[in-house]
Amino acid sequence: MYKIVFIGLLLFGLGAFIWQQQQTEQQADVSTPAQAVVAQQAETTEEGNTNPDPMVTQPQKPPVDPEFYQARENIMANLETARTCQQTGLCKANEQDPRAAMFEQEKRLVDSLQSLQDLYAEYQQEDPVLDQTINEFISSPLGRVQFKALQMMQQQAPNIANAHSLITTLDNSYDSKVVQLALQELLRYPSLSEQVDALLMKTLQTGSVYVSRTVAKEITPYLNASNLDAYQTLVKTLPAQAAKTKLLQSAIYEYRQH
Amino acid sequence: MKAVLFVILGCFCVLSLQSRAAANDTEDYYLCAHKSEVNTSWTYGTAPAYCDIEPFGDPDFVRDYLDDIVFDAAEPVSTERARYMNEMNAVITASAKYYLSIRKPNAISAEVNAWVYAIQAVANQETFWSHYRDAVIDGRLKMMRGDSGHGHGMMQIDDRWHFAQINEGKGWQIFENMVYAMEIFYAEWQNAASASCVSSSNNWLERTRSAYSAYNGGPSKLCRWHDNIAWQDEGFADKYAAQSWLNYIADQHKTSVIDVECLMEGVEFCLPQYTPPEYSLQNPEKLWQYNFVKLASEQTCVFEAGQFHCIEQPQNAGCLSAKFDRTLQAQAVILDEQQSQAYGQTLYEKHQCLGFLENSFVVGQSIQAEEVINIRETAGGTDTGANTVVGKAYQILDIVAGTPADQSRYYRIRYDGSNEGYIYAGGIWDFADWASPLNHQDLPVGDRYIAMQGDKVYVSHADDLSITDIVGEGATSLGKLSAGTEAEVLDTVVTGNDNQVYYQISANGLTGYLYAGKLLPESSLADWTSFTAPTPTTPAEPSEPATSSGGTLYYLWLSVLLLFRRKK
Repeated sequence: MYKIVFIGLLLFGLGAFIWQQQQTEQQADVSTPAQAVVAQQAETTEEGNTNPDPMVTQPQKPPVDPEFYQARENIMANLETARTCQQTGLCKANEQDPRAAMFEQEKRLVDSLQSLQDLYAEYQQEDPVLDQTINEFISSPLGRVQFKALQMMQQQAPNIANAHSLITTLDNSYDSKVVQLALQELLRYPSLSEQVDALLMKTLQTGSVYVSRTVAKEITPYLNASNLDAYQTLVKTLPAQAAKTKLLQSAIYEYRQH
Repeated sequence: MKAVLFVILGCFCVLSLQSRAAANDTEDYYLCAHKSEVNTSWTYGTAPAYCDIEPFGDPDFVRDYLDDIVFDAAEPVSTERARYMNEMNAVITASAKYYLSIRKPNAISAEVNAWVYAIQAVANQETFWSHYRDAVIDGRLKMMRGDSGHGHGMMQIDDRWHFAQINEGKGWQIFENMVYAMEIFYAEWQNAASASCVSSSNNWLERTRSAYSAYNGGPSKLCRWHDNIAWQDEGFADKYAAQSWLNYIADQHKTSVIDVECLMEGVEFCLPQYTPPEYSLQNPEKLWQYNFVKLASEQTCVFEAGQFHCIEQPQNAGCLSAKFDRTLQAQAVILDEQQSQAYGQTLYEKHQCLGFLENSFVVGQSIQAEEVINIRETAGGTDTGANTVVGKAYQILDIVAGTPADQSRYYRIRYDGSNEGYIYAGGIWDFADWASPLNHQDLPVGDRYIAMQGDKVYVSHADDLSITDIVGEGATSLGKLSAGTEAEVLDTVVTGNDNQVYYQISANGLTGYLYAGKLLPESSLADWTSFTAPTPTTPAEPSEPATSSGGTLYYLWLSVLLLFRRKK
């Protein structure tokens, strides 16, 4: 009897020991925040998050505190209220300041998104509902809302559907702060490099004055051996006196010093 | 008073950084010094209220380079209005055309005309084309403020919703003001092309009205003019239809002497165009002898001894004046292609030319501040609210030449940690009153950003860096230095418009040049080398189980083994 129990415990212990070793190795590999991001990227493949549809069955996770769901429901209700507040009159128009209603809506949306971000951080959750919310607001025409959604996106594992939405919405952006943040985020999607290069080149050619300068200034991490020629060709076609041209020339020069 | 204003500015800046989402509860007439409401009204070129350009921007820059679009209150109003409107029409038209040429290079002429017309109407709706005013009451240069002071400048950038942008200069600097507004308007112009209330993308009236509704009320109001019209839409439609500005414009085809494209590209000290009173094909050199000339290649030059002597950036033209001992006005004669090709030219590298300024310093030189002087974002730009400290040492990170007549110069310095900005440093006669030279070794170690002779630096770049035989293009690699390698700096070379820094170094038995980053528009020096040795990366110690579950399992496993050993 002892022998059976002993062998059983031995097997259990051996299994537990191997599991523990694996856990320890993973922790040792992730010793800095930057490494943590990379490790997270490696662990969560881009394909693994392609479908933000909440109806798709997800892998089993530990049960979540019901309070989380209750709080999330409240926040989503607030988001919905904010989403329609201009139509419902909750965000009041002001005759003398016609953008007041828009800014009121923007503030409500940003506050709700912040609450959602805090909630998910508190409960250490990440799910398709959050991804879908980010996906919706990353395309908002309201700059501060877009910025907040982008900040939330940066906190999550890479999500290729959201990255596609981001690339699409940046096509016409004139918000340098949003684009600056987006350029950091898109570095996490090496598989989208072709689309990102196309976006950056189009922006440099005919994009917003301020955004094209931001792109030219921040482009160095995107330069590589395979796209350098294309950017060098592009810079020759841009107006010589333009600030974006000078900034791009400078970035290319610096890249070539590596 | 100014100190109080800056304390308030500082507080708002902190708030702005902390919360991008929140609108600023900016007070009415925020930072409005010497508010003027005397003899002003809503008429073309004038508005009911004005405030000093200071502390937002440099009034001297406006006087020297944008004087043609300042409404001079000392002149008879009707005469001045006629002059002003002609000048402003030329500036608005050129700005709108240049903007559209960037965003839509292949736009058909009908769209270009419609776009210019739309921008003229928006500027009319917002402020009756008013912006700068030379106030006769106190002699100060002012800018218009509307909507209880919240609206800044001709396009009325609101400091409650665009606070950060106001502090970046998009209120007071008219070209920044227009570009920022056109960025917003263009987005809506594009959206309007496919709006349900616009019958066709070529229906310019509907498209303009739609773009204005969204510009005024936000992106969701694209069809406000059609579905639920607001008084602003009605007012705009009236002004658009009336085109009353035309009543004041004698010459619709007048071109501005202001270098609109240069200024829209964010360059300061762009030389206004000078048209000589007489032009002689037989002897054009005399005209060129006493003026800067701008070649078809955009280079700014001085004509001397049968040759053009040129620099790439017009803002540094003062150094050519110093080199050839000329007192030249801050203006340039524009030469056509044929004239530009008529003589040979010598192109001076920026730092080489700046070296011609008498008693100026070089980038990397340490100085001691001799005056309390405000630090600006750019040489002629927005005040940061910070000042130099008399007696404190600073290292020069960039030099900009100001007005040619007195060879004024501006230095870029670091202050309060990693912030950077420009200080005025006097001219040929009073340079010593503003800053005095200091030995590099007297600069506190913590205030050194560019290494100079005798310093030790460590490679901080992740990739191996090449040591080359010469600086710049065409160099040959002599070897590589890996991250953490110590190098002794033998000399420092700063070159190019973006202030590329090279160290001549000695390391690992090699002597050559090491690229160490650039200083403009933002410093990248820290990416390449460091003054401190990198912290050695120690191998990770065998860590104790980080989680309680791991530890518990381990001890459980040990206990079971011990238990069974005892039983045996």
